[in-house]
Amino acid sequence: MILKNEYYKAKSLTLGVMKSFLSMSYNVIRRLYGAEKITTINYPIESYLYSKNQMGLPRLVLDKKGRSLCTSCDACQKVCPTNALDISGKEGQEPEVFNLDVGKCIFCGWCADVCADKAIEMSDEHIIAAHAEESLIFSFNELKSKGRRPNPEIKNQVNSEGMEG
Amino acid sequence: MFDFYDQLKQEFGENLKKKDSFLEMKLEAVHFHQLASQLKNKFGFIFLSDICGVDNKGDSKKEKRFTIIYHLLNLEEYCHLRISIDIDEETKLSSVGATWPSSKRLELELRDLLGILFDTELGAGFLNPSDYGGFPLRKDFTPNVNGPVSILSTSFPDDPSIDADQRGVRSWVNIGPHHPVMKNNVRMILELEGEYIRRCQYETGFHHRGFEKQAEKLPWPTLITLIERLNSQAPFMCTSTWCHLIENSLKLQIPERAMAIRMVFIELTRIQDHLECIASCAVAAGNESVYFICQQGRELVYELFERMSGSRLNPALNCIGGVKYDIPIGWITDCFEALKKMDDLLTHIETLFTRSSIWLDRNMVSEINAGRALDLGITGPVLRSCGVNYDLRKVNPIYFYSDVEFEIPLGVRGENYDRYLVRMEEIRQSISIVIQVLDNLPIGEVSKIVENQIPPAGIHYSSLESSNGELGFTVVSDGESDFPWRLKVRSPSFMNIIALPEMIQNRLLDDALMSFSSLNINPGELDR
Repeated sequence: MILKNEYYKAKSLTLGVMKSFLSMSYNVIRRLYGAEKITTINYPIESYLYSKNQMGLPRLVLDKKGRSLCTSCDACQKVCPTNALDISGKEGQEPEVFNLDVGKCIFCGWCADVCADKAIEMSDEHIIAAHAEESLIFSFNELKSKGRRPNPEIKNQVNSEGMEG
Repeated sequence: MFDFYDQLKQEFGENLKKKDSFLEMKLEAVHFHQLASQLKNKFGFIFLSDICGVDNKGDSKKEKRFTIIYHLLNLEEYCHLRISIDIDEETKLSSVGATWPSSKRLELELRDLLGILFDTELGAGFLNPSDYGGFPLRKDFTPNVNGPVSILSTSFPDDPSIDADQRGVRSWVNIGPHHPVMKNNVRMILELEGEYIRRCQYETGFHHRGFEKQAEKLPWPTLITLIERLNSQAPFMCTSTWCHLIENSLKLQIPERAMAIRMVFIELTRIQDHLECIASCAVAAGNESVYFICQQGRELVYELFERMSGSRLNPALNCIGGVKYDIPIGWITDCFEALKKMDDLLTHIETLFTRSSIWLDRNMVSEINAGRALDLGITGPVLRSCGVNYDLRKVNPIYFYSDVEFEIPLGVRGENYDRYLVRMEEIRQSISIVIQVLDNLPIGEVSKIVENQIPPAGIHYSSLESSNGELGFTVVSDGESDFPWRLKVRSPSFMNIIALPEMIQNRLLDDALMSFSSLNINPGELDR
């Protein structure tokens, strides 16, 4: 398909300016008063609705008794493309050391895919800021409690503080 | 095709082998140099798409040190010829730059990264300084971390055509490395005479990550995570090409639904990348409003990505054997809604830009001749804007591209404005492809479990029409080890940037950035 010749002919300047102005003002009015009113959200009081399978920080899945399903099989450590995981322990038991370096992690989800026991899953936690490199290394116990949706009570606290401030 | 193949068979006899859709030939170095002009003029291999050098040290099956693979293309017959040449460490290779000008930069890369000798002087390199002390892509390379490394000199040699008085009038201007129009870091050095650009150089390598060397140290299954990070604007294209390559080499048929999902996401990525390109053109021209309209369009696509796979920029969606997730419930409706909004946005951009006299005046510059574009190895929308009808989706259709209806927009003059028009029309065509595929989405599973992901021994090549050109991977595998022996990226940005100095010569300084952004160069892909 060869492009139409008329595309190469300029519109008259007045017509062009008028059309652009109309188009712009139509959009301005639509944005301000129309159904497509775009607003920012009041973060962190409200949070954006993420998708179900969000690729956040990897977390350990617990059974009903609060124990990890991990059997120290090392499969995730081997498959990790950036060597972010450091695991040691006897196979078949809970690992002695299970460290995740978030500074290296690229959130690709391979550890969750490869796990035969479904002991790792990708959570929706993505706000990971720290002051030092060491605090970016999450240990076994920290990973157990990571990645839950924020507690509604804490939300209210932030809200009330915000109102007072 | 058969006649053409018979003709070639008559000429080259037993040397020529047919492997899948490629033709393969093994030649001696001297012999190839003699045949080069014959291949171009008699058999129509006018397009040199890539040169890949492989170091065979440690491979017991190969006698000679290096293998050089030339990828030649006959555009009329769509015939892909692969010529491999085995050479020793001391053998001097002859440059084929006289026949295929696009080989110049690729040969420099061979010289600087693999240490292959050439019998003619190729000029200054752009990758390593001369005292770098080693060739990084060789197998026995150990980096000299503490040694002194000089900086590559980027300066203009004296122009012999002008005298000293005129030389005094000229001044230099640096644009970049950091600039809002450039998506990452590239530096342009311009020699000006008043407002006019007389000469241009560009410096690349700010974004170099040792991609090809890193790939040799990652096992096959996890390599896809690195591939995804090749091009930050179109990561899905990279992984699709990679998965297609591995699946092709293993003769694996992926489920139909996975093919359809991949097509949908390839086209969505194309829409997103074209919008990004138009946005950066608009910023270069000083038009902020179109920039924000384009960003709105990209946001629509990113939201679709996020709902599907959970991440926005790098949707870790592809895997060998299909795609990871099925389409969630309600996604298709959302996709249609987003595409409808996209259509509104496109109409809005067209009202502001197409046929607008200001946009026309500023963009009717920097033309590339179609013949020159083919010589330089340019592909993608830039080539199509010159009027060359070459789109891999039509000439070598994979998945369901042969079943959907779409057209290839072709420009007339090869100017910036043509590139803008071609991109706008391609977005519309992509929208139509997505709608057609989603209307007839096959049912079934979305992925197959692939136990063995190691391709059989040999050279494999696969390419896909990415948003800025033909993106291809050459992979050399030994069939046993967990790591690829060599991975070479045929990156469209690497080839497209060659046209830049010619495009903006004798143009105004204002046009430089617009021409640059209309090429849609992604430094992640450019430097690798």
